[in-house]
Amino acid sequence: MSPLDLVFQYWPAIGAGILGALVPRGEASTKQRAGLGFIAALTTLFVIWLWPTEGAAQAAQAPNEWPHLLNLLIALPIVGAAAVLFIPRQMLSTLRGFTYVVLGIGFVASLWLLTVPMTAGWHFQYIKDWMPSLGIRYHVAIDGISLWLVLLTTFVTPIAAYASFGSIKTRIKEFCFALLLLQGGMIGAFLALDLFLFYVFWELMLVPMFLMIGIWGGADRVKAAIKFFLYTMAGSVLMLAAIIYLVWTHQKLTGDFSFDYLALSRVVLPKSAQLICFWAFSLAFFIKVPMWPVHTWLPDAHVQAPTGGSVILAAVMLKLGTYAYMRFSMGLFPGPASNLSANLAGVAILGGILYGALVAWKQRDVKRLVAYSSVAHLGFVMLGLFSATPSGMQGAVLQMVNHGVSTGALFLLVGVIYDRRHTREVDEFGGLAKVMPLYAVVFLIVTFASVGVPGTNGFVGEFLVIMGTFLSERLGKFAGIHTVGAAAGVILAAVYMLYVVQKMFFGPLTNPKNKHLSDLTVRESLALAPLVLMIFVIGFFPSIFLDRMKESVLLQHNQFKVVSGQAILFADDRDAKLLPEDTFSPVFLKGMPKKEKTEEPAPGADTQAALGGEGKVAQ
Amino acid sequence: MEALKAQFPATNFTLLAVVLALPLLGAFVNGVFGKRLGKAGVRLMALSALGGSFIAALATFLLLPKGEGGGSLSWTAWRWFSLNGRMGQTIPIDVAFSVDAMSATMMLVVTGVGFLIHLYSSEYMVKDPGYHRFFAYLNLFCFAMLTLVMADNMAVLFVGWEGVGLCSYLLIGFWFGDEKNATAGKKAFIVNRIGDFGLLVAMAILLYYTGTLRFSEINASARNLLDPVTIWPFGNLPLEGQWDAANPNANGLYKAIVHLFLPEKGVQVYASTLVGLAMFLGAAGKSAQIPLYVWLPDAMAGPTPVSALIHAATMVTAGVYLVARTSAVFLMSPAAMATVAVLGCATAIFAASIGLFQHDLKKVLAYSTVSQLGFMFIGVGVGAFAAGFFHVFTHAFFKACLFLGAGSVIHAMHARIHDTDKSQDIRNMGGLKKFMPITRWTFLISCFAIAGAPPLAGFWSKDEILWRAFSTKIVAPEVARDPLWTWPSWLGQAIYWVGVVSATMTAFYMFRAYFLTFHGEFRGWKIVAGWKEPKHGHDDHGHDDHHDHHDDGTPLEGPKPHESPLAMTLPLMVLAVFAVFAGFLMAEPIHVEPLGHILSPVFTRAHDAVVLRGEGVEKLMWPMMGPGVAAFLAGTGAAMVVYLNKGGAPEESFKKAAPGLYRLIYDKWRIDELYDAVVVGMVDALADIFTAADKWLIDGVLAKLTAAIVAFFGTVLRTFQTGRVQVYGAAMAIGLAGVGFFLVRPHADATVDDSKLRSAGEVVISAAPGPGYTYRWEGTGTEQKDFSAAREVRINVNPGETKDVKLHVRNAFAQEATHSFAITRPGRGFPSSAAQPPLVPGTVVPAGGGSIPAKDIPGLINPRGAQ
Amino acid sequence: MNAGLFLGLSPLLVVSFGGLLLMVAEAFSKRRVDETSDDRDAGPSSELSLGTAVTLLAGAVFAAAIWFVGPEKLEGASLVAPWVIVDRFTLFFSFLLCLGGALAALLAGGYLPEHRLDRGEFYPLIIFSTVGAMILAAAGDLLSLFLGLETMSLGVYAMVGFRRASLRSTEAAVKYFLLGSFAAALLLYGGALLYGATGHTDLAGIREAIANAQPGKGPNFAIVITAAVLIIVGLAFKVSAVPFHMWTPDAYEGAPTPTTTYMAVAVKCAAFATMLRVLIGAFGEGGLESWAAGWPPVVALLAVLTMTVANLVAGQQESVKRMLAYSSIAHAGYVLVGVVATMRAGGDAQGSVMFYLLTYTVSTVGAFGALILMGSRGAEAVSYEDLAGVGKRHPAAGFAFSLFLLSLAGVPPTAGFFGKLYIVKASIGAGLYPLAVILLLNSVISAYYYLRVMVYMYMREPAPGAPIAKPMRSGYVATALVVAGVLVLVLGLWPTTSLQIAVEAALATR
Repeated sequence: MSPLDLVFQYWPAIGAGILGALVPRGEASTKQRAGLGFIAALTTLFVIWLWPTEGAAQAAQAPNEWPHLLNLLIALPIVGAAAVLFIPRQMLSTLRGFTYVVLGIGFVASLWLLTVPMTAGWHFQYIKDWMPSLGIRYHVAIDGISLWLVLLTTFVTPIAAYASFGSIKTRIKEFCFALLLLQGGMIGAFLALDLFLFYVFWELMLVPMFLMIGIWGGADRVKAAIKFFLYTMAGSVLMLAAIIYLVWTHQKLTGDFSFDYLALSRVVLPKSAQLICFWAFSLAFFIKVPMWPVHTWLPDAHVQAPTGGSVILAAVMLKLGTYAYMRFSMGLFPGPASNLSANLAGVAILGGILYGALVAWKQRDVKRLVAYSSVAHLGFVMLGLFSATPSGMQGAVLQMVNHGVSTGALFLLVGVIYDRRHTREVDEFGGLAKVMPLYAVVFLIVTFASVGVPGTNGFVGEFLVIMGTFLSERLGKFAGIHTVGAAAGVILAAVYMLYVVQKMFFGPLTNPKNKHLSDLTVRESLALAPLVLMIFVIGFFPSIFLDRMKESVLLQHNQFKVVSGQAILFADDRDAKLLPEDTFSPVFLKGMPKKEKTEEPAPGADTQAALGGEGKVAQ
Repeated sequence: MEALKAQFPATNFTLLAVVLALPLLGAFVNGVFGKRLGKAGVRLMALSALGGSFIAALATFLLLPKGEGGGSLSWTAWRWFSLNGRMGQTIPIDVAFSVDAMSATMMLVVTGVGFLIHLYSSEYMVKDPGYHRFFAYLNLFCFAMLTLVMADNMAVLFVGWEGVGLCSYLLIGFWFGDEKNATAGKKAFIVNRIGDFGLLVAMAILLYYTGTLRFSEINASARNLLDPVTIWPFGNLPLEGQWDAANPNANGLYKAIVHLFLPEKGVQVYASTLVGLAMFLGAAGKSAQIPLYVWLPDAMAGPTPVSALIHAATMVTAGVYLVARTSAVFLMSPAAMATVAVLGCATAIFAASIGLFQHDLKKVLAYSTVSQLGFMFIGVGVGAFAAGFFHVFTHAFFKACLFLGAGSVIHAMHARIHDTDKSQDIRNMGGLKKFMPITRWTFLISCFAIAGAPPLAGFWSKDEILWRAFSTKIVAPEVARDPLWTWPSWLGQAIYWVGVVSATMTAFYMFRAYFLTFHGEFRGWKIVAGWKEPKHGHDDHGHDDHHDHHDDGTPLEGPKPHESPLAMTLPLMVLAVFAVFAGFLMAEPIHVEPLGHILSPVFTRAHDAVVLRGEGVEKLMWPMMGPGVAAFLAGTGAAMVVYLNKGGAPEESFKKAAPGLYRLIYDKWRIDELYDAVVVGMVDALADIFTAADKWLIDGVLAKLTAAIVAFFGTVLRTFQTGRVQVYGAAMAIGLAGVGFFLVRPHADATVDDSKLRSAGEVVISAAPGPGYTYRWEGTGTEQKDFSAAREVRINVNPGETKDVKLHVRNAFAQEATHSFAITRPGRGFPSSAAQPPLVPGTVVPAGGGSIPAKDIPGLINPRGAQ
Repeated sequence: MNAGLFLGLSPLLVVSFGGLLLMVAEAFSKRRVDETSDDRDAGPSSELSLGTAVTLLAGAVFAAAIWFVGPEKLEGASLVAPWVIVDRFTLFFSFLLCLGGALAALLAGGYLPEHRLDRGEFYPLIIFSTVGAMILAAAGDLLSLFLGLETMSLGVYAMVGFRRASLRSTEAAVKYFLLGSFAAALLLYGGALLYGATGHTDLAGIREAIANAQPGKGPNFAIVITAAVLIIVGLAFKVSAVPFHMWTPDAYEGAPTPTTTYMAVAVKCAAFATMLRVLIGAFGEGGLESWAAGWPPVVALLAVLTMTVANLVAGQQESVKRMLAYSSIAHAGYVLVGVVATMRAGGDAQGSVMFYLLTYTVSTVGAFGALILMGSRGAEAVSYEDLAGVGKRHPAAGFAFSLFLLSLAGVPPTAGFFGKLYIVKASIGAGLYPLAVILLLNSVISAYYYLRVMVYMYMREPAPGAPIAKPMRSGYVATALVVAGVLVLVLGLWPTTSLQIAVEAALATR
């Protein structure tokens, strides 16, 4: 292929690159122009590359899945975090550079995931025994749902790092350590299919985030950090109890210990135990989401966290709650998840979408406002999941990504003004559009994305969720009311976001402190540019994303439908039961631990014999 | 022509891309590079974008397939996303555009009028520092509006729908330095969002029942919307007699309340009614109808060309367009149609009444717009879709002309007065006819047109609407079989007469404005005493010629009002010409209706559904034009008498005679205040309550209270740690006593194994073991006198029988304890809970909003694999 | 007497003889330090600490060696049974106690010279206490049990009062001694009653007598129950279960920190070993193990009280050392949950208890060690304020402390998490759902005060003018911390082998 062909083939990317370089006006530096052009070209290339074409689908029929890719994605940041400990703290640029390199490699490596057509089932699966006597395995795999969340993580974390290094000047070493560890924990939690492994990553994330809020946060940071930690931990320990109960039940039924998600999916617990375990799991996830009424840690954590921390917290960590609900609560306890969905959807709408929006409206601290807006946005995500329709669930997954992009950008923007004025009170501002026009434009774009104006990413997600809600059978006769409530959230979103836009950017420029604020710097624009671009990419070409997740979502949905039916049919008051394997799609069960008949009894086997005996699971 | 046809096949008509892309390109270039291009460059870019778009739109119009069936040109850009319907089917949502006669006409209006207004603005805004920004917004608006009218499905329409709202927001708040403008923009956006909410809900219902969002398919499968939906489910209240018997002591008031809130039957409506009402909410938001009209008058805060383009000619008519576009849906629901017509009619007269006494020239025009939009909704509401749409068309010309004329006047006034509010106040104008003749004549022509003077454009369209309202009724054949609601026969006539009254008022206030502005003496020489020179702070203003001012009330030296430059008057003239002649495109009474012919295939369904009200009504067509013409004459005449001949004295005397009423009307019936107090106040209070609850209740209980309890108990327990060994020893002694107390006392406890109870009636009870315990069982059948070591008993229970068993335990300290059990075996006659069919969600099909007929649910319980 | 017996008792013998040797060596050593000197290397600690650690670790190595040979293959090892039982249970605890003792000795090697307490007798005391503890773990007879208990306790009484000049230290020793004697008397009286009722002093014999009791024949259950009450209370005192815990904070706080460490790990582990032996070995049948009326509900109640009270009070402490003392009480509560579960989940639960003790030992040694490391002469780090800003000034020490605290709080992937997981697993397997949930919720409360330490280390700066604790430099302490740290991570990430060992050891007693 001659260079000329390349030019022809990739003309949109080149065009976008040139255009991106031309966009900044005035005496913008070459660096800024080059950076923006580069980001624009890369994004366009990305879109071209993802564009669904027949030929590409054919070519990718034979998947070339490197089994260690996921290991790389998880291990790289964690090993990097360990390595950071050995870099002298005075070598600031080395520390930063190292962090960029690690995050950059992670991002590039994660793009590889896109080369594989995401057919239903698991991809890049990697299984290794970890603690065989307990049936704990290192089992990671990706499907169309976690794909986007992993990409979101690898995409947002470098941006957060880049933005943070602009404002955080102290204790860089600890920051790099926390950031990398956090990244590893988050990716691990998205990929883990072993409940034990999942729990390990789930808890592992807490510590770096705790440090991030507590060390680099605002005035009240310690309280917020501890609140964050304790809230999340309180939820997750109950989940741990439920996990163990499930494992025991599985052991009683099959004789094997296993923490494997796939194996445990087959267990149908007795009715009351089902409900309790569902709540134990879901409470942990709801706290993380956060859903009303366990959301109050979020505003505090966000307000106190440094910009980078807020971005990661909002963009990725909250998604863990929604993702985990989708994967584990719906996967393991479809019965209660199905029966309770109408009620939970009511909570998501009243407590999340409407309540969150109204409370957001009354906040005078911009960051707090954005934090409450997250409660509202995630209400949409949860509603999509509760509706349990293919559209609703696709919308929910897309909305997870959307929220990551737009709320991440909003937090970055709030960080920009905070760095300049060291306040986030809306009353301190007004008329900023005059002194910071570029900032105002970007803020406005992100606002409209957050509000869900068509053409931006927010719309597609909300639209799918609302449509999915109305079509939902789970919500029964309340689907209509739910839909109306959710759609009303769209109004309130405009109310609070435009309120803050007007207060900050419009009106007379009265406060003398604001008269000489500088517009976005190169670093800030470069950090924001990819997010703003993604807002439009998702808004206009959502099928890039939806097509890749569709089959996984459909599988999940069908399975939820079938298994919830089975679970409700077969659930007993007294005994746990095991669903036959053919209830599930074979692609789903790929990688499930198999009982090997010829296996020598392990040293622990007689242990198990010693404990067994009772045939039924005690209730 | 043929070459073009060959180039662009009807199914892949890429010329539409050109129509759309040019304004978008203009917006992008002006927005991003505008500052570097300079004003000339911006003007060139904006005008050429719109001009090119107009030419492409014209070509599209000409290339439209002609003929009986009509036809459309469409272009699919890409697959946007896809949904899954309730049957699991995939519903693709494409970024697709499709043009038929109606949208092609709208395209012409948008690009044509848009071009004229661009041209006008290029002069009007020339001194504004945000020139490039203004044209970027304006171009973006045209793009969004074109998207709206060309959309092939509701999702794409929604893109344009929100897009125009967004641009309107930006343009109303264009001079954002002033708090008032920004607030008005925000209000417009939020009120529009309320409408968008309706549209979203409508889309959801449509998707559910028809499984598509494409207009063509919605129209084809509109019959699916005839599913009755229960909107009030509690229909099982006992009939009145029974109720009285059951509650003999209830008094009348109580009864009345119960019957008010609990109807005897559930309320059912067609799904089409719900769609129609939701869609109308959307249309009302965009087209400023009751109850969502409040944003439009405030939107006049934007630059005047914006008011002309967005808030008069194009965007506000989107609601009418939408109703006409989805006419098939509305035709399925007479109730929704009636709602549209009645609310349109109410808006028409209500807004007209407010317009009577407004002083702000733009406000007068704004209320007139609201009123005219009401007429359009009457048209589409009574099934005269073509007529309603035709009024959109004619209104675009004369209202744009009026607004631009007003802009020209304000331009002139502002040059002198230099204050936005004062320069728009008609009390400060007068006698301008000699200073600005072109503006005056075009304004006058448009006044005639809007007032309905035959044979100008407004006459034909308004008359057509009123005639249709008078003569027809809606009977959708599909609905007729089992109507849930029928169209009362008097409704059409009532609408007609109210329409005539509104038309009278229209003529009156339009000519009031005309006379006060252009006739009499120029009152601007002497601006009210005490008027202060405004601060020279607002640099963003478009026309801040820094002329000298004096702050006393004496006649002031200053620039005279002057006629506007050609770039501004040319559009006025063009629009005035259209205001005169556009009516002949669809003058039904004289059978000159080319537009009617090409629109006719778009509304084929209406032909069957809208019928004449009675025998021989068609003969009344000419006579019924009389009241319309009389309305024009009466209104105009009254205005002439009051304002030209008597110089406005009767208005003053009315003001004195009924000051309350006058103020009420002048204050727009205080609806804004009502909304503020009721709706906004309620939401605000709710938000306050929630915020307080969030802080004190939720966070207080979950976080603070928990922490406080933990800390409290920690502190209390800590106080026991005194450091004195005696205390420690005492604690140990208490602990010892406690452990001893527990172990010395007997504990009677047992586990019941009833797994065989149902099948064999056998129950095994085994007592918990204890050190040195002996047991005695009572009520087992074999009576036991003494304590023994037997820990287990086996009991047989017959069906339906209950047995009481009592366990006595004695321990080594000869203490005893008891525990009783009651064991019941369910009888044969009662179905045991295990035998009941398990509850599976979905098999119990609700009848409410989101109901599914049971037959449509594909097997929920599928014992095979998920795939 | 034969080789098998010697081999079987070798851990005990190695440690005893090592202790004697060291004592003699110390007596002849010229290293004497007047306590005003600044030379930290001149004292006996510099040699004895390492010697003690080596001796104890040698005992551990011997225990491990016998484990691999298999105690059941040692002929003659059962000759001394039931007085000293050589089984895998014993070996496991021997290893654990030696490990804890050795790490404590290493800590002492840094601590004593730093705080001018450098007197040689500390090390023989540690060794002989450990010998007592090992006997306690091995005892299958009430007599040897009491012997071991007293041997262990006497050494520890002396170690608590080691800081003779300090009033607090002396007070702590006296309190501990008084209440400890009270508890020992209860145990002894309980044993006497059991002997009177059953005619046996060996645990297996007692168990058999109780199990075979027929109505009207066999032991008098009134006496048995009274004995059980006394013995349970005595054991509860030793593991410092609430409400028999009140001596613990005072003794722990007053004692020199290495002693505290030793008490928190070795003494506690030995007490739990005895508890398991007695409750399962002697009271395992005949209704005493009943869920309705036996010791399990009592122990369950003690467990709940212990966890909850200790955690609630720990959150209110201002002294980190005292907080760690309460934390050790709370951990005893968690272990008690596992003890309760042994009655239903059997070997698995007992294995969980033993594994937990292992993880608890390494984490606690680490935590106390890090605390020791953070204070230097004259300025022992005791309160939270003393730790302010340590994470910034001494990142390695801060990191280590954080690691151990997270392990104590039960955050994965540390050892503490896995220990807790395993106990919860056992208790859920035994159907003790409320206990498991209470345990987990308590661990959330405990996270609060562990995090508080991290807050001070990383997120606070010392108040202006406040004395800044300067970490000491001690290779011994560092070594102990590294060992503990590695174990914390290894036991958390790859617990399989050690878990299997614990379960196997547990099965030996059944």
